[in-house]
Amino acid sequence: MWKVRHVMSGVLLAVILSPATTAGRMEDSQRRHLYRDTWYESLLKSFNPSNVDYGGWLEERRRAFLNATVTQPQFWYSLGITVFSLFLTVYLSKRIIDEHRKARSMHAMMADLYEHDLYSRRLAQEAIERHNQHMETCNRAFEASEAGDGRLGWGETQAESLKAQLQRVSAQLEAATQERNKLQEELRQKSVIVSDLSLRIDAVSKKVNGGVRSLTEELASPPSKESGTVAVAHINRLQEELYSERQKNKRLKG
Amino acid sequence: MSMLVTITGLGSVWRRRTGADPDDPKRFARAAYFNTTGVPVNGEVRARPKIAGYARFNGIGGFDPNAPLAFLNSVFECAEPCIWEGQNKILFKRMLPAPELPDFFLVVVKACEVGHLDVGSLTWRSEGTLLISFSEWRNRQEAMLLMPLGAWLRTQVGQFRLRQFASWPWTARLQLESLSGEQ
Repeated sequence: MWKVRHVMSGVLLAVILSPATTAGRMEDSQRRHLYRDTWYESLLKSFNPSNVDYGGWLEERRRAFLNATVTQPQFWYSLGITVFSLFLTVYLSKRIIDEHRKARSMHAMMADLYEHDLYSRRLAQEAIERHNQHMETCNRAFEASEAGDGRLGWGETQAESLKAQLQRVSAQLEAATQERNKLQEELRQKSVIVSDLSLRIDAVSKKVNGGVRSLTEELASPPSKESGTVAVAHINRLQEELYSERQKNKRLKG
Repeated sequence: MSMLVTITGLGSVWRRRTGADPDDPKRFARAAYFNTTGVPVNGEVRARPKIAGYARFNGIGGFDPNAPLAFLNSVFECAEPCIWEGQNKILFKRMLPAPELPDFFLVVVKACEVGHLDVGSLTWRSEGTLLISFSEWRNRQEAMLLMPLGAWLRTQVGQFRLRQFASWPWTARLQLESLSGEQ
């Protein structure tokens, strides 16, 4: 009897408690469903599994950085000096570039002036040459008029013009012949002078070989003022003649 | 034995000779400077002497090598021209503190300025003119002359005569004369 009663009470209790147990299970399931992590929370947890407070760490480092820089007067001094140095570098570079540009401009202007000077000199030389030619032509015209010759091409007929031209050519031929004779005479005189100088040089060389003072020493020694100048002038002439003969030889050799 | 010379021009080539002793403190003050003619050869000035000669200046005589052009139109006391080791030489001893009428003028002419010089012809320069140095390369010429007042020089362009300035009679310049001989 006691056993039956005991079994029955157990069954009854099971029946009574069974709905409550089912309801509790449902609530646990729902709670677990509500507090389950989202996909991005899981992703973030995978990056920071130890849950370190990086924001706090960053804030702490920022405060330390600001305390070490902005609040320190040395920082501002260094910053100012750096900015000033950069500004000075830029300023000096600009000045150097400007100076180079000025120098280039000055060189260009000087080159232009130099070219203009050369051009002016060339023009002046050409003008002088033209003037000389013109004056020479005028002189010949005056000489011809004084000699009674008419101007070439101004004759009344072609025959007179040709006659005048023939006379002019004859005069030129005569002048050329006289010039040639004169040059031949000069050449002969120069040959005589060269021979004479050769003899003198030989004589001086003999003196040098004989123990007499050399020509250089003789010329460098302090003679009287007149004799020294005359000797230098004479040697000058000899040097020029030597130069002239060398030029002639060069021309003849081609 | 000395004479007065006015410098109206200087040659294109300079040379320097200092004392041999490197320990001498006045080594550069006692240096000698040599001026002679030169012509441009391939962009550089070369001596190319056809008739060799030079003008010598002594540093101890007051010559400043840093400003040679400052000595233009200045009167110097000079030794008489001579031949030294085969070269024409004139020694400029010292500059006069106040200019005086000189005996000669040191004149430097270039072919590009006065025309081609026919050196060696009988009538390219007047008597009394001394040719110190002459350089030539192709058609370029430079000559250094000692000319008295009134001396002349005949070139391809015409005849140049040395005439003194009215206001500065101790110096002179070459003037191109017209065909009639008037100034």
